[in-house]
This record gives sequence, C-alpha cells and structure tokens, in this order.
Amino acid sequence: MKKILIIAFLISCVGHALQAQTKKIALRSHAGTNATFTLEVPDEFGLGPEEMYRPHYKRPIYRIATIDGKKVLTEADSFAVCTPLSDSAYDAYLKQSKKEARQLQKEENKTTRIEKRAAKKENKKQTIPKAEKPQKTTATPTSSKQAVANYSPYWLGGLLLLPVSFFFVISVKP
Amino acid sequence: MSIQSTIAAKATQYLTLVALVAFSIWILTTHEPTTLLPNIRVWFAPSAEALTQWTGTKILGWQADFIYQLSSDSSGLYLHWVHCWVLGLLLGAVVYLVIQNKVDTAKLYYLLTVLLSYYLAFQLLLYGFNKVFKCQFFLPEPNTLYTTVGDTPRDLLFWSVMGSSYGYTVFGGVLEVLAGLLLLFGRTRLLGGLLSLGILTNVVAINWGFHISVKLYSSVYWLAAFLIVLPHGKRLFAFLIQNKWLDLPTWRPIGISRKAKITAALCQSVVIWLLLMECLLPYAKSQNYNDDLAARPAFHGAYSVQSFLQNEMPIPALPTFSKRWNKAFVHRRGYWIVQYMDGSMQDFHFRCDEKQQLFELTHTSTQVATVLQYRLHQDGSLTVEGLHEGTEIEVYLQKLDWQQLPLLQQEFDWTIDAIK
Repeated sequence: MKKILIIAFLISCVGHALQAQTKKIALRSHAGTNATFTLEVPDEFGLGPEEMYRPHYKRPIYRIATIDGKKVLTEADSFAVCTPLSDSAYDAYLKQSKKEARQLQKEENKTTRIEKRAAKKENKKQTIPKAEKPQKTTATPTSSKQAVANYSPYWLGGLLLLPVSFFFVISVKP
Repeated sequence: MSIQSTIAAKATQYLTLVALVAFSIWILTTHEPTTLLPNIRVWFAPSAEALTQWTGTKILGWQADFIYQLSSDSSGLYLHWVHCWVLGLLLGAVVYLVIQNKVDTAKLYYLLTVLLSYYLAFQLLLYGFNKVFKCQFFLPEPNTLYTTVGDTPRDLLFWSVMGSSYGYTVFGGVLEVLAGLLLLFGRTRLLGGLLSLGILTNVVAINWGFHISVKLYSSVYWLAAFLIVLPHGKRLFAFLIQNKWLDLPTWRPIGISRKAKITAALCQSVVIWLLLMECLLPYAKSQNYNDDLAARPAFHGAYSVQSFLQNEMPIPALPTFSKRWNKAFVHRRGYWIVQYMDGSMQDFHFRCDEKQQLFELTHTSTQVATVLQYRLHQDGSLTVEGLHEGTEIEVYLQKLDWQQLPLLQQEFDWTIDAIK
C-alpha cells in the first residue's frame, strides 16, 4: 500500500494535459478572432469536433455523372456540407437527400430498361442465341454503397466484454 | 460524545447529503452528448436553463440577452452551479430530517465517492480517448496556421501548439484514460483519485492561465477528484509528511451475502462495459483513430490570391487596397475564410455545388449569401468569379502547401548535430 501511495503521488506530480476544448475555440478557429464567436451549435464542453459524435453527419451528396456516354448515379467526390445543423434540420436534409437519391435511382433504372429493350431488339435482329445475350453494362452505384458505410460496432462490444468478464469473475471469486 | 463532536458529526452528515444532491443535479443537467447511453441532459437541461434564465433576469436583473444556456463558461452555467448547491442545501435538509440517525455518514460518503468516481471516470475516459485519437487537440486549420502568433488568441494558440504534437497529445490522453480506469474499481480508487487530482490541478491551471473557457467545468472535476481523495487525507498526511502509517478504515460494503455480491459485481461490470462502449463507439463507427489523417472536405486548404479583378480592374497586392483578398482558406467545418490585405479575416459559411461548379458563401454576420462560379485547374488552383458584396470579382487562387509548414513537421533528433 505504501508503494502504491508513493507511486500515486509521483505520478500525480507529473500528471499533465487534460484541457477541455471549448466551443469558443472550435468556432473562433475559423477566423482566428473573437469577432465571429457565436453560440450556434450544441455545446460539447470542450470535446473534439462535433461531427465525431454524429458520424452520419458526413453525408453523401448524389449526382449524375456521365461515364462512357452513360448516365450513372454516383457520389460527389469527397465533399460533404459540414456546417453544423440541428437534429431536425439534419433529418429534413437526410429525407430530401434520400428522396433525391431514389429519384435518381429510378431515372437510372428507367435508362437501363430502355437500353435493355434496345439491346433485345438488336439481338433479335442479329439472331444471337440466348446464351450469348450481352451482359449488363451499366455501372453499379458502388460509390453510393460505400457512402452508406455499414458500420459494425459489435466487434468493439465483444472485445470489451473480455476484460469486463474478467473483472466480474475476479470480483465474485470467493 | 461531546456536544462539539455531535455537532461536527451531524454537520458532516448534512454536508455529505448536500454534496450528493448538488452533484446529482449537476450530472443530470450537464452531461455530455451521448451515442449509446440515454441522453439525460435533454430531459433535465431545459428546466435548469429556464430556471437560470428566470434567476438571471428576474432576481439578478441581468440583461435578457445573457447566455443562460448551460454551455462552456456561460453565465448560465455559473448560475446553474449556484442553483445546484442551493437546491442541495434545501433538498439535503429535507432528506436529512427523514434519514438522520438511520443512515451512517460513512455509508453516505461511500455513496458520494462512488457517484463521483463513476462520473469523473466517465469524463476522464471521454476526454482521454478524445486525445488518444487526436480529436480534441486537432491539427491546426490552415487559416490558423497563416495567422501570425501575435494575432492569435492565447487559447487558440495553446490549442494549436498542442495539436501540432501527436506524441504529447496521446501521452496526455493515455494518462487520463489510466486515471479513469483506476477510478472505476474500489481497490484502485484512491490511486485513480490521486492521479486525477494531479492531472486536473494542471488542467485547471492551464484553463485559467491560458484563458480557456472551460474554467468552471474543469474546476468541478477537480472538486470531484478532491472529494474522492478527502476521506484518505489524514492517512496521506501521516504517511507523506509525518512518515507514519495510520490505519483508518473507510466504510466499504464488506460482509454482504454472496448473492448481493454477485449482483453488485454484475451491475458494476455492465456499467463499466457501457461507459467504455460510450467512449469508444464514435471512433469505431467513424473508423477515425487518428483525426490528423481523417479525410478533409473538398477544396480544404489554403490559397494565395495571385490576381484579383474588381469590376474587371486588376487590384494590386498593396496594403492600401485593404479589402483586396490576400489569401483564402477552406475550413474543414464548412467555412470559407478570406484574409484581406490589411490582415483582417472574414469567414463565410461555405457550400459547394460540384455539378454546376458553384460556391455559395454566406456572410456569418450579415447572412448575405453570394454565389460564385469556380473553375478548378489541374494543379489545384482555382478561379472564382461572380458578384460579391456589390462588385464583380474574378480571383485566381494558387493552392498553398500548408502541410509543409515548419509547425507540422514531426521532426525529432536526439542530438543537436542533425540541426543545421
């Protein structure tokens, strides 16, 4: 016990560096002055950038791109609007984005169907056997799939269960 | 027992109750935003804010526009801290009248210590992991890097210096995580309390010394750490100063039934698991384990203005043309910042339409929006044109390699020989 106390004292003497970040710093780092400091996002009492706690905040923006003369649904390169939004505003934005994405998907499907029909007609004309039907050539919207990343925090939960179970076993040991 | 000692014992019991109530209210109303645990702050903070607003305007006669919200060092937060203790005194008195002579003070203090330990542990883990993953002391933004030291406020400068050192930030974070973990277990609570007290004393000194606006919040943490260590004060004093060993046992739930022991251990395990999950989940979800390397939005960076046409007239880069753009910056949180020739800066909310190649800049004060057409060149430079603040402008912006600035070079030499 004495040793522990000595170590604790020594460690506490050299304990360093917990400084809570303030919203003031986060906001005024925009321009390096106090002039633009305003209360416009929920406070995080000094933790890191707010979007860390709202990972869905970095949202994809969809657009139609033309690749090899074909319109495909894709995600805008790496851009995301990062202006802080309230939860309700964000939900509204998300709804709108999903709606737009669905519409674009529909448009894309429509184009694919027209192309398929045209390809069928062409096939019939050329009397190609069924087995040699042309493959679907439209690019799949892989980028948008990536954007809605399938996070799996289960591994973390499982990993943390190990030390916690160990603690439990130690605690209840007679 | 003498009258004096009876009064002292009763006062201790009452003050323990007061602290228990005051800290409980504080925790319920100022708790951090959560992802896994229920966000209890949302339920209680509105009532607390309404009360601070009422006290501020009606009792103290403050201006109606004072910041009554419970945020970093707002007037409302200070007022709320006072409210917590006033309510603690009142509710503590009621509870004291009900439970006096029925509950031992040592048991009450144990309850207070457990509450404070878990609260402080949670906060230390939150802030500790936030540092370990380099989110709290983030890499300085390009606009901060191009602001002179003399023009940078002390708190932001301190933040930027800390943010420039990956190793030191992680070291600070690891210490906090360690202190937080030690606080979670009965056997290591004193060690955790001492370590927390050391860390938080330094934090409070830095926050006060560098004018960092979490003064009250960090002081509350310090007080929590102090109250955890307080019952061991006599023992520590005897050991460290008088070189003696005092055996002063503090109350602990010993001798309880096996069933109760298992239940308590199970509850503790679940709470610890939840706290750790709460602290680590945001990073696992975002896959961001080093914020310095996290993806930045498009156009993020610093730009030097090579040419500036105003109503088709070229404006030379001279200090006399104070409103000519000198540099422009894109901040990762969605801001376009212009540095003028006189050195002053103005930020605009920044949005971009890549499809139509448009930038939308909204003045942060006047809320006037400007839409500018942009052209992105092969070398990353930009041409921006359009009607901005009443004049037609055409600006050619050359991208600056801000990551090569000396502050961001992670150089390390054991000897001075390598320094040329």
